[in-house]
Amino acid sequence: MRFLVPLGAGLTVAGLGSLLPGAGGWWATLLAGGIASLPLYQWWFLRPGREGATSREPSPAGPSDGPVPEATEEGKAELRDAPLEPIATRLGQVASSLEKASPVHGVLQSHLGSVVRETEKAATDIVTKVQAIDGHVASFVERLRVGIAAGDQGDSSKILDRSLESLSELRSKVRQREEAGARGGRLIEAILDDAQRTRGVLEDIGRIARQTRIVAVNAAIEASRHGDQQNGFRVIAREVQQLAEHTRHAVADVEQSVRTLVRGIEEGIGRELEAQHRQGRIEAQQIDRISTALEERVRAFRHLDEGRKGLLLQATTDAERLSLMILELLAGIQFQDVTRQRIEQVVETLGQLGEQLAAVTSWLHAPEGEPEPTLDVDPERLVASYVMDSQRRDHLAAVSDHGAGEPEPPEAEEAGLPTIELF
Amino acid sequence: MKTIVLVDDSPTILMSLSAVLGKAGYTPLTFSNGPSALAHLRGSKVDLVITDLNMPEMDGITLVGEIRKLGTCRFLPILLLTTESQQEKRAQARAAGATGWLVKPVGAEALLDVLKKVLPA
Repeated sequence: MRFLVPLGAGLTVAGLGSLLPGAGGWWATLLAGGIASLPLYQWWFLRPGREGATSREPSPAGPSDGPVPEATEEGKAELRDAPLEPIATRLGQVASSLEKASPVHGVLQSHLGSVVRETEKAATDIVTKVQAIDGHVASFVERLRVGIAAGDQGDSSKILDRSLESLSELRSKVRQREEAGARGGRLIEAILDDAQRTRGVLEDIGRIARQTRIVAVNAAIEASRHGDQQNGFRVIAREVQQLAEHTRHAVADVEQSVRTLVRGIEEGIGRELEAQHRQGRIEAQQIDRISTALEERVRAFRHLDEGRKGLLLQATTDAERLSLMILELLAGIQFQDVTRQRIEQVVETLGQLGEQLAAVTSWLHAPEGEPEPTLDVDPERLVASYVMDSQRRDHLAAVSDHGAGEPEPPEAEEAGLPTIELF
Repeated sequence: MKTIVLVDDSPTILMSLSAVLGKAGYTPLTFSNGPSALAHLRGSKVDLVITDLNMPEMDGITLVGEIRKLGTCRFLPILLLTTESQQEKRAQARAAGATGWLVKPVGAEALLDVLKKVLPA
C-alpha cells in the first residue's frame, strides 16, 4: 500500500505528485516518510523491499507496502557503512525536484479558487434564469386563467342568455295568442247561440203575427156581416191586419239580418280564427326549430365550457408541479456551497502541504547543522477540521484498504442522524 | 407576509434560499454575517431566523445565543442550516436556544414544511 496523505476530496499527495513534471509519485512518498517523523536519509535506506546497498535508485512509486518501519540495528549499521557521496547527490536531486515542484501547489490552489468562483457565478446565473423562467411561467398561467375566466363571461354566454330570453318571450306571445284565440272562439260561439235564440224569438213573433192576421181577417168578415154599424170595427180589423203584415215583414227583415250576421260571423271571423290557428302552428314550429338550435348551442357551449375548465385545471395543476420543481431547483443551488466548503478545505490543506514542501526544500539546501523542519500535516487534525460527514467518510475511505472508490452514502442519515431535526 | 432573516456567508445560499422563500410567499432579509443580522434584530420585528453555523466573525451558535439575549426575540424560532451534522454541534445549538437543525442541502419542500411547523399561524 502507498502511504497517502488524504486531502479531503480524494486528492492525495500521490495524486498531486503525479502532476509534477518528471517527479512521478516518489516525492510524495518522501513527504509521507517525513510525516512519519523518520529522517529522510534513514527512511531511504531502511525502506522495505530495498534491494541491497548497491542498488540505491529510488523506486518511482516509493515504498510499496505499509507504513515506514522503525530503523533496525542492521539498517543503522548499513547506514553507517554506506558511502556518503551518492546520498548527497540524490538528496541534491531531491531538493532540486522539490524546488521545481514548489509553485505547483499554488497553481492548484489558484485553479480550485477559480472553480469556486466559477461555480458561484454559475449558481447565481442559474438562480437568476430560473427566477426569470418562473416569472414567465407565472405570467403565462395567469394570462391563461384570465383568458378562460373571460371566456366564461364572454359572447357565448351572452348570446346563449339572449337566445333563451327570446325563446321565452316568443313562447309567452304564442301562448297569449292561443289564449286570445280561445277567448274569441268562445265569444263567437256565444254570439251564435244568442243569434240562434234570436231566430227562435223571431219565429215566435212571426207566428203571433200570422195568428193576428187571421184574427184580423175574421174580424173583417164579421164586420161585413153586420153592415154599416160595424164600420168602426172594420177599420180596427184592417189596422190589425196591417199591423200583422208589418210585423211579418219586420220579422222577415230581422231574421234576414240575423242570418246575414251569423253567416258573416261564421265565414269572416271563423276564417280569421282559422288563420290565427295556422299562424300559431307555424310559430310553434319555429319555436321548436329555435329550441332545437338553442339546445345544440347549449350543448356546444357546455362542451366548450367543460373544455375550458379542464384546460384551466390542467394548466393550474401543471403550474403547481412546475412551481414545485422550480422551488426544488432553486433550493438545489445549495450544492454549490457544499462544494465550495469542501474545495476550501482542500485548498487549505494544499497550502499546509506547500509550506511543508518549501520547508523541506529549504532544509535540504541548508548548511550542515540546520535543524530539520517540523513536518506536521497531521491526519487527525485534518479530520477534526472537517465540517461534513462526507468529508470524514472520504478521509476514512482514502486511508483504508477497502473504502476507497465506494459510492458516497447520504449525509447525516448514514450516521443515524436526521437531516432535519426540530428541538 | 412573514419576514424571515437569512444569515450565511455564502452568497449562493442567500440567493437560493431567498428565491425559495420569496416564491413561497415569505419576505426574506439576507445578511452575510452574524453581527449585521443581530443589529437588524435589535431594531426590527421578524418572524424567523435561519442561520449558517460556520461563519467568520460570529458562528451560528454564538449568534443564536446573542439573539436569545434580546428581549423581543426570546421566543423567536431560529433554525440552523449547515453542512455540519455532528451530534455534538447539534447539542450545542440546542443548548444555545436553537429551534431546529437542518443539514445542507435541504430540499425546498422539506424546508417549507419545517417553516410551517415552527412559524406561528
